[in-house]
Amino acid sequence: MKGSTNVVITGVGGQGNVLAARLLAAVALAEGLEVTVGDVYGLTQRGGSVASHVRWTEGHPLPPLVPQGALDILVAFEPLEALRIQSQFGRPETAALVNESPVMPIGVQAGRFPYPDAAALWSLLDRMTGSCRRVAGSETARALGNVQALNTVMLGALCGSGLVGFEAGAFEETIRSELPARFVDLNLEAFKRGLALGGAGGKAAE
Amino acid sequence: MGIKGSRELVQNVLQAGMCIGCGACVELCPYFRHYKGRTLQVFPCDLESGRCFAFCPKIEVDLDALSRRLRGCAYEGLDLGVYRSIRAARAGAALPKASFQGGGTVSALMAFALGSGVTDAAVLTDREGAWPLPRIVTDAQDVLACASSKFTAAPTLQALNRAVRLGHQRLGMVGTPCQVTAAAQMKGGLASQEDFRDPVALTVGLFCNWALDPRALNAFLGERVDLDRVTGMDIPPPPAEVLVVRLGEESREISLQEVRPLIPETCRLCPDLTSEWADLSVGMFEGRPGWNTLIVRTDRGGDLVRAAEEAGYLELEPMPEENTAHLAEAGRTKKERAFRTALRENAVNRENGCSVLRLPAEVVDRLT
Amino acid sequence: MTPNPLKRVLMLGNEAIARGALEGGISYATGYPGNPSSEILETLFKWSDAHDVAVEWSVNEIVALEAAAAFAFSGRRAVVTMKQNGLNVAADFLTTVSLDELPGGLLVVVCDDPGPLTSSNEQDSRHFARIAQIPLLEPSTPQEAKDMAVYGLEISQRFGLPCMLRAVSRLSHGRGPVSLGPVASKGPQPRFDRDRPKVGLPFLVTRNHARLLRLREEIRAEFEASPWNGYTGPEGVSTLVVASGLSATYGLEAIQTLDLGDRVGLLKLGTTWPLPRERILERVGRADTVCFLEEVDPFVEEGVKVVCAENGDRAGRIRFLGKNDGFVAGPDGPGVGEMNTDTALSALGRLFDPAPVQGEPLPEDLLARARDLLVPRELSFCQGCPHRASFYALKTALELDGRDGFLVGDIGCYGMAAGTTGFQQIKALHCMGSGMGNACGFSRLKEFGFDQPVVAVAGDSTFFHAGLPALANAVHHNADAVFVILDNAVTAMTGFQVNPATPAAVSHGKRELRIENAARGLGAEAVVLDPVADVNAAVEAVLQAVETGGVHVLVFRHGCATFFQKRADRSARPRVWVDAETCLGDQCGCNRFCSRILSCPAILFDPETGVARIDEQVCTGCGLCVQVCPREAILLERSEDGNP
Repeated sequence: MKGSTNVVITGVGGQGNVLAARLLAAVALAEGLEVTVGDVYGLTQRGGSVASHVRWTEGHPLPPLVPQGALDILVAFEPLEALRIQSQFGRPETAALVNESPVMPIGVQAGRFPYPDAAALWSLLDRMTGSCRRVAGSETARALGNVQALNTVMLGALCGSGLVGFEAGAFEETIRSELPARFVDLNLEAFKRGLALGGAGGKAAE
Repeated sequence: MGIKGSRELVQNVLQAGMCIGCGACVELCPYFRHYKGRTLQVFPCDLESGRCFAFCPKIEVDLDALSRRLRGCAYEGLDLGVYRSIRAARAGAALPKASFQGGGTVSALMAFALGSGVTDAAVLTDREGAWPLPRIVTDAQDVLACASSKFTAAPTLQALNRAVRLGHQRLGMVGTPCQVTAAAQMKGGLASQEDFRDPVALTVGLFCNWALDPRALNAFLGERVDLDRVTGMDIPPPPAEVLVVRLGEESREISLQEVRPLIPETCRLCPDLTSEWADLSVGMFEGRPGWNTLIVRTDRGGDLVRAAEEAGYLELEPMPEENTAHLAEAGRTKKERAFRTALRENAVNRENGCSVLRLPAEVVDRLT
Repeated sequence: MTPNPLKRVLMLGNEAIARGALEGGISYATGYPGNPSSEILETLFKWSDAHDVAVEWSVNEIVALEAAAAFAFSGRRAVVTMKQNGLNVAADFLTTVSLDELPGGLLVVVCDDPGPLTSSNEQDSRHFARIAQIPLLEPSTPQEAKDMAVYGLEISQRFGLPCMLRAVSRLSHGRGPVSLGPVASKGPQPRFDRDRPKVGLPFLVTRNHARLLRLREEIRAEFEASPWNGYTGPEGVSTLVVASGLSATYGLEAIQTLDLGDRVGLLKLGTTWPLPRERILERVGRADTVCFLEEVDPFVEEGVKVVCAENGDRAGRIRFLGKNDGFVAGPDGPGVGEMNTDTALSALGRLFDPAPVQGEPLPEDLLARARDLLVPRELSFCQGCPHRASFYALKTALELDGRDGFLVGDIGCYGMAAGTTGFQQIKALHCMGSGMGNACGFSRLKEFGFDQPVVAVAGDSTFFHAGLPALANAVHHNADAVFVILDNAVTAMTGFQVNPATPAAVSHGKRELRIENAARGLGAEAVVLDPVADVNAAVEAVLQAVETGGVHVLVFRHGCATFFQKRADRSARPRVWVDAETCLGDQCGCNRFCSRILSCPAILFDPETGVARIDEQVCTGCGLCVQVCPREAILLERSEDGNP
């Protein structure tokens, strides 16, 4: 829809993408935008896919889900989930930031089917998006000593990419106000490292 | 055909009603189980080939390959299989008294083998109420507890597989022809296992015309006696024509005519009366109560018999010519019937799909 | 949270409902957990101390509603929350309490799950507002959800009858900005007026029913002027969209996306029972095409049609487009599944020729390639989940038994046992406790030659919710029935809520009830065992139960791994690992039994080493794999403190 921005932050249960979406929405709200978030998950915490739709506009409140073919920005915590969401909601112009580390579905672990070949997966993501940036998110979070910091690393990458047009200071302010005090420093550091991974000047969504 | 996997085994044996419940496929892997007379696959397995298929005595049993490997000659369909000698035998004075049937030869051989160190454990079939229960026995005394015929199929080889896993290296086993056939196929090991060492040091086979399906028998008996009280069973020599069910001190006689319908179809395809692939085969001595017929088939079988006789565990006498002839005739009858049935049911030497038996075509022709 | 109408905070729809209930002056909140409703009470629990609100997870929805009604009987306000299935349980009371005159306020919040994400049906609960003849509110945003909760409590008290607020999953789990208001006072000292009994005796029913219908018309009159209903669009257009609740936002987005703002108007309805007749006629009367957007059933659609049929002269000749004629349809057909912007776009796009242009879609060949690569992310029991051991044991026992036995079950994490993770064992699954009731009937089928063993499974919370009557029935009728109660001590599926089986240490002092005591009290044989500690003992117990007659209750007790691991000291976890020397990998013949069959998130087959591996970061140390490995290659070492 004209004048609206549609973001999906997707991942696998437990990766923390729901929190990332909440922080992004809080930033958008602080900017005075009409923001809506829709969390899409099945039975909670059982290894399924989780996607948070974050949408903002200056007009009427939007419904919680991005319509098909209307996705502007895709932030994926997991490559397979990037493909899943892009197939469902993406358009040729979608800009994607994708964490490089795969999380094996239980059916792959159990040998019922294979995880897609990495080269094939990335090449398809490249062809299905306007731009697809690979982000060493999990690696960065692990280097910080806490895999749970992945969500703020990815949020940093999103901010650093310039795709959403919100200042880093606005994110940092939100991290300080929304997260429990004992996690703030870690997440600020994760956000800062993420900024560098976003590759400023990424193609902005229309 | 070659060695296939559990899918073919389940389809052609378990689901086709061909399983005799010998236990050869049980406890090799976590998939096959035996419970109260029925062998089943609890979880699905999609391996292309497996020991379950290789060991099963009801699918792709290559008699010629077995004969060449174990006897060093082609399979000719001999009435009693390849053997060295046939003797009359019974337990000697060295064996403690027990409630064995017939001459007690099997108990004597197993007890002696254990006691003398020829074997380090024996795989036998005990009874738990009305259900046959395979057991691993390491003490000669316990052999006697398992004496007596069960007349039902039993998963004895489950205990053999377990004993192998527990590390026993010189196992003795007592089994029916189907069980002995499975054990013989185990001797071949699997081509993939280069370090295979035969853990079976002695196989004593029993004579068997048929066994009863334990689930069917228990359902049948359950309507006639209290199953929990069953302590043993016996089929006295002809012309009695009865199954005697012992309930402690009491006993009940049931006409064999009533019992025969409980013989599973799979027994009709069995060509082996005398456990041809065993080291020693033991059965009834018709017309001479208290004695057994003993067939010596291998060197190690012969060595054991000699040593057991010297130690007083076994008494031996020559076998009269006419008894041998009579037994051979019975052996031939079973073979002819099995091969005819197998031909009729397209269960022998199939080009496509699984056969029950494989053997030289001329042997089939000669015997049918 | 300090009320500051200028400051807007992001809230989940369910949090907004909770806030609205708080602002509406409730003294009491009850409910039974169930997606998508659970967060309402979860949120109220957090505020209960600060705002002096009594909050409880009741054993089931009808008890929750009956308990909440007591507050309304006594002049206080209360809210009760449930999912759509739960309303069926509560309906018996709802349809009689609506005949009372309530001096307090009673807000019944029902969260529907269209195109169900977590439910066994996609029932449209709005019908119950009509059955009970109570006002029905349908919010379209979290802000409205909060405001409607306040308003719902207010009209409930003012008109003296329950008010129903109906949310849907996307609203309940959607987040949006909400301006907070002040929290109302709780009202006077609660007192039950004995001179005004709440008695549904037959001779009083018609009188009360007539009063209820009069009230309905008073409420309708109020709704005519309600700000929850509104028109967006130019005057004088002939095409009108009528949308209720969240569907109004879908309609609005579709109109704007297709650039139809000057050709289509939208009538948004937030009060959908009783329908605001005049408000509808005012807009519908000027249109010649009316298209309905709502979920799930054509509830407003049929209501509007009745309004128009009864006022033919004012409505005029109208082409109605909705679910009944099939014009408005999602991918699964009209009247099925969720409403969304895509369905609204498809319907409105077909109204005009040529169809308005949308952006270029992704090329079909790329989408086809993606479909090839996309492997599913199936749900599974968590690492260490006791249900894995339980269903492993149940499957093994039923296979060993060999009489084509099967499981009948119900709603809970264990419902996943109808799928791969539970070895596809549950063959009938409907509603809370349904398996236990089914088992009573399967027992009677034996009189007609039925010979398959049947085992009913139910969870601990379900046992108290709906299992007790079925158990009493089984015992009373001398049934042959096996009930396996999967007692993991919390209501795990919906977010680990406490229930009567929860230890007092976890439930903050609520009294713990033991399932086996209840069963024995009802005259059933009850055995308690831990299927994770000894899975073979569980197999034996099931076999023995199915082989002998009578009513058997087997309590499989082992705490929910995910819930209790969070609270436990990580260093106290037993360590489980694969002895790479002993594991033969693909040479074993076990065909990767641990990873392939148990399908546990902590067990991997490592292609590099060719043997199984335990992900020790993920593993809870439950030890099930240790018990089933045929090589005994998986080892477990308890920490010195022992396993909590």
